[in-house]
Amino acid sequence: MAERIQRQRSTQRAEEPSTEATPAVGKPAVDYDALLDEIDSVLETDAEEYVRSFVQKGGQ
Amino acid sequence: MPLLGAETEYGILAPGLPDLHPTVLSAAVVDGYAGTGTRTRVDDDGSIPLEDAHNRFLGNGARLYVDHAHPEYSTPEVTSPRAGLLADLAGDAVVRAGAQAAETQLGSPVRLFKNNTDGKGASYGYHENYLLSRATPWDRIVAGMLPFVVTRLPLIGAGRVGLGQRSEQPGFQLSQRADFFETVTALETTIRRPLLNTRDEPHADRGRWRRLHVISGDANRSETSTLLKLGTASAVVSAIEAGVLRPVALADPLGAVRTVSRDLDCRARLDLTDGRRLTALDIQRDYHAQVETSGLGDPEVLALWASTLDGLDADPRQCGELDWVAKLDLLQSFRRRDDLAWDHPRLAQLDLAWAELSDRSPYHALVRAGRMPRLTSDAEVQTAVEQPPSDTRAYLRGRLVGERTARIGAVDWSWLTLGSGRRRLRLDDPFEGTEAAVQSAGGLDAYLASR
Repeated sequence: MAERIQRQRSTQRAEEPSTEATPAVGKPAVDYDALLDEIDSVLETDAEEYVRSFVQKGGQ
Repeated sequence: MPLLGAETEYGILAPGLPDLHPTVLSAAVVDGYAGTGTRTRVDDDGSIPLEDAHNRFLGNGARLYVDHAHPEYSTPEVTSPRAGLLADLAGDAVVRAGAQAAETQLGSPVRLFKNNTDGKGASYGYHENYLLSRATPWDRIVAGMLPFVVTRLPLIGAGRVGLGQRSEQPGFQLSQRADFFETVTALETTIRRPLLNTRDEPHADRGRWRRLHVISGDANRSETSTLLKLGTASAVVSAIEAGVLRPVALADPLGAVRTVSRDLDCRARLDLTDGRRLTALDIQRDYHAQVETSGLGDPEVLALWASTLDGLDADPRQCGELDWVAKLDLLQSFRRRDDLAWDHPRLAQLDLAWAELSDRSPYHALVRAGRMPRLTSDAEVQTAVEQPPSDTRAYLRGRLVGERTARIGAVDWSWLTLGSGRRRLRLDDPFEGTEAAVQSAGGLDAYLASR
């Protein structure tokens, strides 16, 4: 549930002018808030399950 | 410049098939890769095949195999950092293609991760290999490499959410691997991991060469980080081999690696045995200056090394072409926007998704948005997927595997067997069997006849 609330808020925020300091990295080729929304939108909705399910056996 | 190559151990997961053993899953990826390469075969005489389906050499000279329950890709031998970068990216493309085939076969998604920890205590490697003259004393290699691998983390760190082997403490650090080193030098790679591994399998004439097996580096998504990783280490190895390096000595290398990995401002001072206290960037500048003065190293890499150190010195946040910086910037943006504490699962999710070999990875979103520079083209990577390097024995291996597959009995790095008579062709000199040598002999068959 906390997930959903956070995502709603981020959608609202994306429509407002950004009050964040301009991100230092790279060239702002696209709107940064839109980029965060794009990244958000393709991630699994259940973050906890995505992280929990990955357990690597073995390795050097 | 030393001959070099790299091995990537990919994390693997089929989320819809929790009961499938990861070895079986990894084998499906290795078997599924449709590019040219050796396969399981039943010999004419019905003998047990020497080649195993889960251990393939490919037409580009690389090796693709199942190791410790994960897919692993070893690049072919190359002679330049840029060729190493392309070979590394070719590995990502090959395993991705294998995973897509495995998905079709299994009817369920298969995820691959190019990182070095699952965040729950397991670590797996990205191993660099450099070939040195046998005359280079091991003590000189240790003295030269140890401060180097500790202080290069600001350049090559992939970034990690979580502190401690099991992410016991919330937070962010530069390196995926830093928390997994427990000793300075040792032979092991899976227990009591050493900062410098003593394995010396040159896969070449042991009388002439030794191998430096560097297991302390991170697997990178950023092409800049990969080029710096392979190129700066090549330059330092050259200087060690030439006997021109006068390295500093760290008072506590294992403590220093943790300090550097947790120092997001790149300002922490490290104790030297001579009483001085220098930052990781100071020590990297010293390496750079000594290599440059000696006329060693790849010019493109030396320039990139210097400009990246300048950028990190001025403000690490300006260096968004580096993995850990770009990842941290993204994580901080989500933290600000959504008020997330460092132990929020969405940050661990972003960290893991960064490493996923998938277009939905945040890494690829930054590339598409023009915020993460690429140093190569898709066409160059595709060439490295399909064709072997021209200037090492990997050329001969790749062409034989790709074009004379039916004649190959068995393949290893330094030899292969041909034909039903199991004629063994030794390739103890990694600089033979090149395109130039094959062409001057009059082609592949003429070259084989001449050997």
